[in-house]
Amino acid sequence: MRHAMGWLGLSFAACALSAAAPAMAHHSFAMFDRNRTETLTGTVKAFDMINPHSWLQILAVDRSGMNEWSLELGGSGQLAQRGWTSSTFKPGDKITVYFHPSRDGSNGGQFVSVSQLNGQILESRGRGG
Amino acid sequence: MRRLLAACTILLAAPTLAGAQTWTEYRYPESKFVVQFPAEPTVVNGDYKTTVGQIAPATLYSAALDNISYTVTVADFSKIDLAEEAVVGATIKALSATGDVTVDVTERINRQYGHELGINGKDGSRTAASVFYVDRKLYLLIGKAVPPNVMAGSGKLSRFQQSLQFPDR
Repeated sequence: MRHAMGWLGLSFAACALSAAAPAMAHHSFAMFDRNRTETLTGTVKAFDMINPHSWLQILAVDRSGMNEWSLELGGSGQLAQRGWTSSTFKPGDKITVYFHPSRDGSNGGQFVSVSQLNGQILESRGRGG
Repeated sequence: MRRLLAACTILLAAPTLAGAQTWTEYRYPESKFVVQFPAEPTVVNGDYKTTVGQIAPATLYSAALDNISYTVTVADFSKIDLAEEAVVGATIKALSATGDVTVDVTERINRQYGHELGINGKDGSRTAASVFYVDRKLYLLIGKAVPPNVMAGSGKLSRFQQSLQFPDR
């Protein structure tokens, strides 16, 4: 009985590990400050729904004028599971995004969620990009 | 390193490419990495000289668009008796000498660990750099925006830096 429980536990651990492995993000997002969330309102320039991470390019006016921001999201499969498609954002869409800013102060960050003009809130995923 | 910096300088002086910016993923199986460029990159073979005087054969993958240069240097140290710490340390020291390091974090890409740095250059430039050492190869990614308005391109530096991959490693 003890052996059976041991094998059962080992099998469970193996299954858990194999399930977790594909979910590991391609990188650790160390450059982004996850203790801070900032807001940016602007216009979509491009939305690249790709692997291992998608990218949202946004044009927004800040203190130094009109600048382009690059926000990193989850992979295309991850976004598709949440109902996103490559046309979720189109060039010219007005949006407000929430993101974890880059630690070096650049116009980049890790996407958290977006508020669209119709009031709909979309999230990329909870943790891990 | 000086040769690399000289190469970067040449890139910055080169005419910018015309046309709309589209990020494309490029796979380099011979050097075992993947990265995104916003313009068609060129590939040049040469040497990489460390600040400690060692010279390693290297390949420079580079593109330039607007006021930004994008480069990945892969230097092969497999036939050079130099420890990983010495190669990485010398590389970071050389990068740090170009300006103020605003951030230096340990980053994991796939299963490899390295450094990601942000540098405000003495010349008013802004640099995003990554330094990884994998299977006795140095991977040095440098995205550099030069004045005027380096902030306008800083998001692109971030995207370039974050797009580096070491698939299957």
